[in-house]
Amino acid sequence: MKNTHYDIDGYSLTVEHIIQAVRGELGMVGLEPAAKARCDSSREQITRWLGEDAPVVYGVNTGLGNLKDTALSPQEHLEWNKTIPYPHAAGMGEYLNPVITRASMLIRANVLSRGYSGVRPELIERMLDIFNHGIAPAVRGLGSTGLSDLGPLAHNAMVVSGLEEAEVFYNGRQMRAQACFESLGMDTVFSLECKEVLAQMNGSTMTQAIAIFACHNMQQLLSIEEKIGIVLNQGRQIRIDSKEHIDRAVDKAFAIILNTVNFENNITCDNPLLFEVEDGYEAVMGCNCSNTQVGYVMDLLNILIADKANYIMELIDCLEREEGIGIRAIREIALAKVRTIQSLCLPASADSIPTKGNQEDHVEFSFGASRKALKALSAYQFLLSCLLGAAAKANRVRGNEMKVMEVFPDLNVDAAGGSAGLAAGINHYLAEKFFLVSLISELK
Amino acid sequence: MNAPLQLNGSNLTMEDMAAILAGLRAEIKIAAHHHQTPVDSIQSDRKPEIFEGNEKSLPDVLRDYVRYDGELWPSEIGLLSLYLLLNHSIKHSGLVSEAFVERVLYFVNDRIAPCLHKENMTELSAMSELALILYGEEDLVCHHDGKIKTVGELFRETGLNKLSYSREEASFITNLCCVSTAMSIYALSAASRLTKTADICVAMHLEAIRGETGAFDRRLHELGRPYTSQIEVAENVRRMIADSEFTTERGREAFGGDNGPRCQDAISIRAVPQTHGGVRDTALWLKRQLAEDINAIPENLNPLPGYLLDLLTIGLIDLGNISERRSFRLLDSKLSYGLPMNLVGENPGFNHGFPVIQASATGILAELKLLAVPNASFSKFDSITKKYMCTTFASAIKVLNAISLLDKILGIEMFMSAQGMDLAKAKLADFEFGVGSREALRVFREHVQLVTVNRFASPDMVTAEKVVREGIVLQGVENRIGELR
Repeated sequence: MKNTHYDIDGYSLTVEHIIQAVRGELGMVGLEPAAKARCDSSREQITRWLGEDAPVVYGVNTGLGNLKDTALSPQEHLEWNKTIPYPHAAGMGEYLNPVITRASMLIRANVLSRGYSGVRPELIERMLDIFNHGIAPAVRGLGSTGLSDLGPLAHNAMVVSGLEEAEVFYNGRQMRAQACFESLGMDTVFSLECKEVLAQMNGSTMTQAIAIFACHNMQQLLSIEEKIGIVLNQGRQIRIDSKEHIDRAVDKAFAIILNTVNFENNITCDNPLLFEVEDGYEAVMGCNCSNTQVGYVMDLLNILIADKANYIMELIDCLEREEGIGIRAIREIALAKVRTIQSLCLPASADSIPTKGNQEDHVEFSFGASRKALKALSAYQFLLSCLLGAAAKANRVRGNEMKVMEVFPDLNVDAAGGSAGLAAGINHYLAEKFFLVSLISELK
Repeated sequence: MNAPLQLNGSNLTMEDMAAILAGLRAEIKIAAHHHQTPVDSIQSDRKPEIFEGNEKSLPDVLRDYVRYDGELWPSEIGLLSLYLLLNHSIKHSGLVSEAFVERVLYFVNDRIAPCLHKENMTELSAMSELALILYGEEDLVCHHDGKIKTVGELFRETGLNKLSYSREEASFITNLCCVSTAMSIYALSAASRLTKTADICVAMHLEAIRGETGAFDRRLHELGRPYTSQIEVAENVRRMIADSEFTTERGREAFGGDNGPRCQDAISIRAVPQTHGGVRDTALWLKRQLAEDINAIPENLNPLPGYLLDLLTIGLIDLGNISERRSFRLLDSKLSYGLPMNLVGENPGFNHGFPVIQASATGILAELKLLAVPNASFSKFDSITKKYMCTTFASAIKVLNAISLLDKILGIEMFMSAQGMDLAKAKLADFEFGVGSREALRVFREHVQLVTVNRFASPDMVTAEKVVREGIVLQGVENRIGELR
């Protein structure tokens, strides 16, 4: 067994851990021995259920969704696992940022390591192996409701299993998963056993991965905003009414969001779950894939960003109004971002549309809520870039150009150049410097 | 709560507020050695400028901001506002006259509850109205002794005289967020009633469709996804359907609505702990914030409760979403596992049943969803003064409107679930419902009867709403099985 630097156990993964792991700061990620033992133990029960006279256990010896009443034999089930991810792997539009899909692999491995899902530790190790190699499933970004990210997570399952048509991003290139595995000396195919497809697909882990980066971006942007404040107040004091009140309120509300997202990292979200009883395990079915609170707090995050955006725009306006700095073009592009953020405030969670022949008749739209929050954060990032651009222009007029360099040492932009280009240059710099993750990758 | 409550400006609790709302409040006394916050420690950079350089008389300045027409908020909001105002005035007693504190104390101890006009839609307008009522503005109204009275009548009855304010005092009072805080507390109390009522509707629905109860298994919630709120909802439902013979495999077999064992019910039923739990959390987050705010009533700027009120509105809308889908399922024999189509009591075809009643829930839900747009969607800086316009008050209005619509949606669900239970029982007369759901049906039937033939729908719907709004079935269930979590 290879040495790892950080082990997941299903109970302690945080936003911070995930960001560090994604950035390679934790070294190789492994499975904690006690978690492995839990998984081994519950898996033995699945093996017993594959014998004769087993009870009806959804996802073990039945079909899925509204075919749940169709019984499948263990033999059929193993064959079935080689095709069943395909019809579930729905998705349209542009590919999600590979950083996000790769993180989803780690988050899901952590979920499974809690031991209630009845999967083999080998499956978790396979997922971690893919993560540790820097491989990201290629998953299109539109189509999931968030009541289980079945579509996105079926793509993940295809990659884990090495199904022929599975694709990944690796080192900036899109390729067949099998070819990628082969080039890295990994097993090209990993046979998924009973329950292991459902255990990977059921739950809202892609929503969670997006929410993780939304939290991370928010943390970074709050600190960037403070830094810009130092540049902005160089040689002047621009006061925005009630800014401190809003900041305090946003910080407190964001603490609720972060707590919730961290809590949701360490839950079990597939179905059925295996609980220990006197003579083995019992499978209990429920709607464990619901991640209601995550959808809600992602909608809340959008609200907070919008209130911040309101005063950032006011700050930019102040520079023109009170200092006579010619930043009309910056104001123009900044205002468009404010409107984007405001329109994204419409809460995704307040809606629900029945799906799947009315069997899934209430959906969270938490996937949409997370997507929206991350988009709003990207717009907010650009808005802050506009503010910093405006501040740089103002400082240039006042002969304080060096202040920008003091606060953002390696920022190399021309404050005398075109406004849109200046803001775009700063935006790019911030993304790189602070590891700000967007929903869609620029990688094509 | 019989012992007098000794208020010192910092010791008000959310439990006190709940007791006041329930009419159980004790007499208020002002603690002899209460802490006085010195004047200079109060942030005063945003005092309203309406009192400065204004040549009008003080009441006229206040009147400038107050409308005297239109509908009234429930008087409890005015009463809670007074408690908050009193508590804050004790804390900053250097800023208000003794006569003022005595006046507020008189109001609360005599349970004189100001009825504020809904048209006073900002904190400044609402606080001005409150100040005018305390002053003795004759045309404004209060609830007192079981009746709505004009302040003129009230003052004549009680012998109260007009109160005089200094400009500083009036500025201090009207600058506080007492009314939006009171509205938020009132909304939280209603949200608690609604989330419990939704759990009752689910228990009744489970009986009607002979639901599968595994989704409420303790372990799924305590071990699988251990949110406290989710654990609470699952427990509530389990307690209500305890000993039910309908929600068993035997019940399902005897009824004959299933083809083979029921694997699991639809999401609107089996995701109840998760969804209702999430809604409860939106209320809990607001409650934690208000627990702080009631002893530090913010001045006119308080964005955080506004964010959390908007989130609570989203949660309540979601409760409406899931409820409407449950009532929808009861219309269709396939989705309800064999209940009569449209829940028709007898002679289907001639009698129409519930389709239009259910569609009303859908229509009301659409109305409810319109409230989802958060106030952060709009620019908040005043174009002339460049001041930030806090929208917490607007968010509080919105959540109260949402509550009123949700009362109706849950009323329809309860109406239809009760019908479903009776129709199921008609087929399985020897089977028993769970202890809580049985009581819910019994109490509901004291108000709305089984629908067997075509009859005027609206009065039944209005009564069903009243049963929900006044917590009648909730009280009945809690009397029978103990307080729900």
